[in-house]
Amino acid sequence: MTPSLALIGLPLVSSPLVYFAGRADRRHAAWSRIAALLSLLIAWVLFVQSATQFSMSGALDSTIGMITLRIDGISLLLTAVVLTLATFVTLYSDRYMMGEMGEEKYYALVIAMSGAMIGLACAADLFNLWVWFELMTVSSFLLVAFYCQRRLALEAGVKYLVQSAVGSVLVLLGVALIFAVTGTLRLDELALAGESLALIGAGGLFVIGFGVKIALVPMHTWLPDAHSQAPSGISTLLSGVVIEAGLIALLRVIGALAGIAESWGVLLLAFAAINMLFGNLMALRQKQVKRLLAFSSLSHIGYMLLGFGIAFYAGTPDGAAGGFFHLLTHGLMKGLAFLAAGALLYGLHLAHERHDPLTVNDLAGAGKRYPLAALSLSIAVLGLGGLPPLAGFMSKWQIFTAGFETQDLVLMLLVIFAALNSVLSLAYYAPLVNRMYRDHPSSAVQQGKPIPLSMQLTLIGLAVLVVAIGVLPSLVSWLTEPAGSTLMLALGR
Amino acid sequence: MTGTILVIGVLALIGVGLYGMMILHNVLKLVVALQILTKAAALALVAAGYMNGQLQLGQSLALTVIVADTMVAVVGLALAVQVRRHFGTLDTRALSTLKR
Amino acid sequence: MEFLPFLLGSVICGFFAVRAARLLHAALWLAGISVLIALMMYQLGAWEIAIIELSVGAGLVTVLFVFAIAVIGDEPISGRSLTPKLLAAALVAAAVLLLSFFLFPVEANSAVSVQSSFAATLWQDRVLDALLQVMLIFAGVLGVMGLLDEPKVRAAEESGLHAETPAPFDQPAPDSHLEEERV
Repeated sequence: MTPSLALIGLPLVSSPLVYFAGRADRRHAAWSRIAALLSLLIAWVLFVQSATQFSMSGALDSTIGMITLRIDGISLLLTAVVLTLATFVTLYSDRYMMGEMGEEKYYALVIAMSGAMIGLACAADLFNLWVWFELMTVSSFLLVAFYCQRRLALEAGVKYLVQSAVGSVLVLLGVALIFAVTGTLRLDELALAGESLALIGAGGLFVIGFGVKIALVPMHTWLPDAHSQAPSGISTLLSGVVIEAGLIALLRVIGALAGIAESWGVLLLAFAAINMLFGNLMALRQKQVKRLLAFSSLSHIGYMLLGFGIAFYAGTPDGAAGGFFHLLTHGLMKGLAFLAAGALLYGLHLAHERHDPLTVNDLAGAGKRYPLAALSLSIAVLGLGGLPPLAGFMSKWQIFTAGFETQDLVLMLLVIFAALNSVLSLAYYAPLVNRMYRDHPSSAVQQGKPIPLSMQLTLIGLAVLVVAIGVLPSLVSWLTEPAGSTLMLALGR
Repeated sequence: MTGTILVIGVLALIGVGLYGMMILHNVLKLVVALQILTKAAALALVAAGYMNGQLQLGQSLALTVIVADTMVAVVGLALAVQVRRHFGTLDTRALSTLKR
Repeated sequence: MEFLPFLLGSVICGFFAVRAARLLHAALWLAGISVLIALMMYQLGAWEIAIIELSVGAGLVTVLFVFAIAVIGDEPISGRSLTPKLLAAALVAAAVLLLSFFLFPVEANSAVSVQSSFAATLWQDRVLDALLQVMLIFAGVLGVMGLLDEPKVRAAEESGLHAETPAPFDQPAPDSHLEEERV
């Protein structure tokens, strides 16, 4: 058993154990949280081992039957983000989920979902990729509709289930088409298959099918509801890694159909422009904090697509690396934003046994009562808005410079458009911050209860990461550069 | 020829399923339409295997698809039960905002 | 070509399943599709998957549907659909035509024709998929258990540990409350 294979298998094996740890002693469902933390800890050790091996000898293949699992730059990057967020969410959920029904199912499914995403990032077989994707989806259904006694959560769950299932059928049709035409399911053999009309059709099916999960704009309608109705830890995972996992699945498959990389690039760039603008315009109209953050995820998917689109269209390696860098920083920043919003939600509403949404107006004056949570939320949203020297600025900057490197007029105009969008996004991030540092506290803040220590510590940890990556972006270049070059290699450039 | 007819059949089933997804507004019937779509997908995989001479491989893939999508349907049914319990109806229009 | 009637039959069944007014009828038409598709798979030589489709698709799924309908009650829902039917039909037709433009002529690559048995393919070549099915079932079962878990039952079980678990959502809240939370 190599460390890389163990890394992929561990979460799947430990997920049932996590569940039974919580079931064994009904009064202490929190055992499952400890088991989850333990398995994440082991996963971290295995991750470090795999990463060292990767840095010495390149991509690590483990073949089971005809299915290959490959740890390469892209899988290492996604694994790192998944493990980071899963660890923080598990630490954070201590008080947030305590006493909720099915606490042990929550932790078991969080681990299963993380494992599915790690596997998805490693799959080198088209159909196996779909199976991991489906496992990720099935384990997220309950997490989205976790408060299933509440009507809005049920509505979000139904929307999410129906739309993801249609998306996954479309992906499957694409797989069947490719299998029929080329007779192979290996992604690396596919890349040699050359061009044909049927493969373009299959690529279109993949864009639409995975696009539902990535929330490309006409297929995004499940996202704001799911992100705002799920428990905050799950919003973090959904926004920070699940939609990005869909994006990576899409990049893998259309990267393998790379005979026509340029036209895929055009498609990605078009979706990038639509997503950025639409996400920002919708976020401007939101009054609930979590819905606002959900719509801002749409626009950030747009930035990532811009980076990857530049890589596909013009073959610029910096575009790919920038896209992956933004994937990483967005995961951390949006994670911090959702966790901080969740901590405020806990203090203002949940601790009173209320399930009201956290509105922007509720935040007024939170800076004095909850200095730490308010500061973390400010760091997160200002980073998302792209203010230097925070992490978001660095990753956006790398994408923008990649655009200018190409000397292509359309791409440069797109980059300017993205920069303008970044400014536009401050129009809804800045009022959030402004509101929190007002003098007159809202009634909710006046009656607010204290935020537990475990949540505060998690917020400190993530906030330090966001600031550190902003100041020293080279801290993570050992992850983003190999990921970028892996994508360029798949594109044959 | 056989291949062409199979492809047309799969496309027709997909068409029926998608049509159902668009016009239906009962949570449980949406799950029925989803099942039609997934059966079409399973058939497509078997047909693909038949056409390229790897029928056994096509069958193994279809088995995974059937298992996975049965789980989706089961979760969908559980959601439908909860929707009925808390909304008093299965009508998606009562979920008020599905179209926004 | 013997499967042509089955193919036609399954499409017709699908049409009726979508059109059926009562939930039970929809579930039965769905079982019909399953049976016909299973027969078609049998004709193509995919015997094993035909049996599985018959038992899981036509058997298990139908039982689950009937069970759910028994819990929910068969409630015919009429009224205008979200999308006008004609528009929906036109959109679907356009999508299918567009897709078939990419599909035809169908040129399958039949260069490889190594035939092993189904069991060997599943348990050797695709064993990872088979193992992941176990995880899929585990995740699905957890999901169903979590969704159907009721607070009152649990509270009673745990001898008052969650005695004050609020259950204010049993009675439907007024709609204005819902609207208020949306923007």
